[in-house]
Amino acid sequence: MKTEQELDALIAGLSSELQPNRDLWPELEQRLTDSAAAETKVIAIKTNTWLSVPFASAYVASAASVLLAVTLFWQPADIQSLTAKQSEVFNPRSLDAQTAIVYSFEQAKAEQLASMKTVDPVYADWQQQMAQWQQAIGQVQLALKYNPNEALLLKQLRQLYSQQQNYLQKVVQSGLV
Amino acid sequence: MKQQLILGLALSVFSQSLWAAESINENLPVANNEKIYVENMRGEVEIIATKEGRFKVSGTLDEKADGYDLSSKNGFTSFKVKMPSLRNYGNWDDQEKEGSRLKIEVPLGAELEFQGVNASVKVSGVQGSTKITTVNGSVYAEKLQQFIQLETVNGEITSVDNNGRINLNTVNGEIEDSGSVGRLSIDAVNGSIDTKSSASEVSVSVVNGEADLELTNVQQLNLSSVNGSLEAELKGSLTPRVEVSTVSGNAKLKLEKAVSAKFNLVANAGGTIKNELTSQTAEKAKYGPRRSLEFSTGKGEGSVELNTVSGSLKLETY
Repeated sequence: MKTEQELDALIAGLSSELQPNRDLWPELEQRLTDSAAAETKVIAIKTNTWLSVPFASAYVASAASVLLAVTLFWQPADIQSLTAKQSEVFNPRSLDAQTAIVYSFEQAKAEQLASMKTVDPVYADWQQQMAQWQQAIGQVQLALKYNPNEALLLKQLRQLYSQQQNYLQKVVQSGLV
Repeated sequence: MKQQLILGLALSVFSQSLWAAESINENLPVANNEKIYVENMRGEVEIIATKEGRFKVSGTLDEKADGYDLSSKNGFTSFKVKMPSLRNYGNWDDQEKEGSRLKIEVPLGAELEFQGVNASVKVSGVQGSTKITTVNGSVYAEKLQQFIQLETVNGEITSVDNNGRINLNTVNGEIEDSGSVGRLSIDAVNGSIDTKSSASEVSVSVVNGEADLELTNVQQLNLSSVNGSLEAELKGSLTPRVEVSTVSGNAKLKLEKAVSAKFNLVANAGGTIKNELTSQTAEKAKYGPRRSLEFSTGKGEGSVELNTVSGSLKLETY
């Protein structure tokens, strides 16, 4: 096959209908019989005596006592498991390298910003400065989209965040003096 | 009338004494390896190391100073110019007119720490360690040894013939270094960096400023920039370990012809790579804007890694 015309000619030569080589009905019939038998079994389970009316009140009572026990005693454990689940979601170790870097530095930055009280006039343009680093971080992150997990870019990302963190530390300290 | 005249004269003398700068002349014997702390918020201070085992301070105090504290005990000497609690220490432009004018002598082996706000410092010859911190003011440091840390926010740092672990740090000022030996680390945010160094390990970081480096026999070099350009000449380094990274700034390295190293250059998103060291050229990735170049020279003993996001990278030779 060398050209598209030859391919078209071959397609045109094929029959529009295709017959199976053997009779498929016996196998299909067997499958249909099997599913009918399964349906009968399900119906049999539905008529099980454990689900009859006399046992219904006992089930309701049991369920109510279990619910009460859960409400009274299992609540702290429930909260613990919820907290564990949350920390699992936010655990930087379980994330990819880039997200872990961003997560840890952004968290530290938020803490630094929260501890900021006043800023010495010498750092009057600190927000502009921070924005420049943020812009640079954005550029590296964009490059990481093209080359995920590129070691040099990840290193650069960490370095930029680290510089920003050191600068912010100075700004915060200037207001504490 | 006569009484009024006397009162007026007395008041004028009193008010003059309020604004006149107080003179100081103190001289204490101290150990050769004395740990010395000096604090002066405003003015100009010159600190020199001498062979004599003494701490000497002379000159005039800040006009607004409430005297000074000087104490010396068990190898620790502290000198502080006492200032009223001011949130703002004045305008930097007024610095030349206001503040202390001090000359301080310390022993050669002293470990010195200075702190100021609107203060410029000139320090020389201290062979212990030196830490200078100011906010608005310049720092000039010459012939210091061991741990050397010079830091300002708005001001120039000049470092001459220092030897040891040298750390120079400014936010908005320029940094000029020459004749440094040992380990050199320079950080500037907006200022430019200029160094002629023989340090074996050099680390330079700049955000918006430019860095121009002439290095001799450097073994390890780390350079980073965000927007500013980086230029480094490495004389006599045949197997250097170099790491350079920029975001949108350009980086240029000039290397010895006989350099033996493995090279890895990457421009991640739109940057360019130019190689004048060998005939190899960068390859563009099949998908995406990445360009890269890998090659070796000699036995590939050293390592040269250059990385940029969108800047240009260039290798040159002598």
